[in-house]
Amino acid sequence: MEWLLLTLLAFLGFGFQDFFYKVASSKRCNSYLLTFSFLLTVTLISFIFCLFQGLSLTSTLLFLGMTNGILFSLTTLSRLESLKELPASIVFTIIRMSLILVVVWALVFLRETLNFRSLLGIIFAFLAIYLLKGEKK
Amino acid sequence: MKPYLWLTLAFITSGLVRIVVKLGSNYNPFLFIFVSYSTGSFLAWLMSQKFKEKSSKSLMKNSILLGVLIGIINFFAFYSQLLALSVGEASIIFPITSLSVYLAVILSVLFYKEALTIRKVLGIFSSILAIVLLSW
Repeated sequence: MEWLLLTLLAFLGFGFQDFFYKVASSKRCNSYLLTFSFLLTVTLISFIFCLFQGLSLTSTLLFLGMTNGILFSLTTLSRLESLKELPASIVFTIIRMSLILVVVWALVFLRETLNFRSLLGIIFAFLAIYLLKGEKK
Repeated sequence: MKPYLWLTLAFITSGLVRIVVKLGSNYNPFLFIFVSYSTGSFLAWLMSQKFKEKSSKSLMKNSILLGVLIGIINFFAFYSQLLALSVGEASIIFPITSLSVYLAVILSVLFYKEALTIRKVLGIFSSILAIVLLSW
């Protein structure tokens, strides 16, 4: 049951992380400064972990890491800005439906097949976006 | 920029992040995170200089402190997930952690008194079904 405890810890951690985005937006925090502070903190902590592991950097890892960094900073920033005007129930739920993009990518580039369960999942994802998009505060 | 434009940007970039993270999953996660977040923090710093917002000193201090707090929580949540994946099944772990966003929704409703209409509840319920069906 060790995996369950660790999973629940991760669940709580990610959940509280998202909630603190809401807290920051409600306080009208500077989104750029907060994003910088957040990402720099994780950079420093991960650097310490890397020091103990003696790791080597490849060009592919560098490319993927930098691409992810650019995208992640934009996603953090845009999440904070949208939370300033829209409720968390809309913002977080719609952002979570970005799973659809991963499914589409897998279908197009990895030539995965779409089974009935995934199709149903996509339908429910679009339904969620439709239901929430028109909602205001 | 209007809020729904920000939300659309968040939706698209979040989806792309998931794809890139999938591609990067073959590499050491700490090194991947170090490269990602160092790039991201540099970009965020550049943007903070380009789009200077007028903020009071206390607001800037709150922004930095909350950023540090979110960073610490984020890293250890990720680390817990990584440890869980080393001893458990990804097909069970990822759907559970994917649902963590609803903890934030519940806390927002409780602490910020966000209204829950029938339409919103149906939308949230649909999204939970979507996550369960797409993740398992």
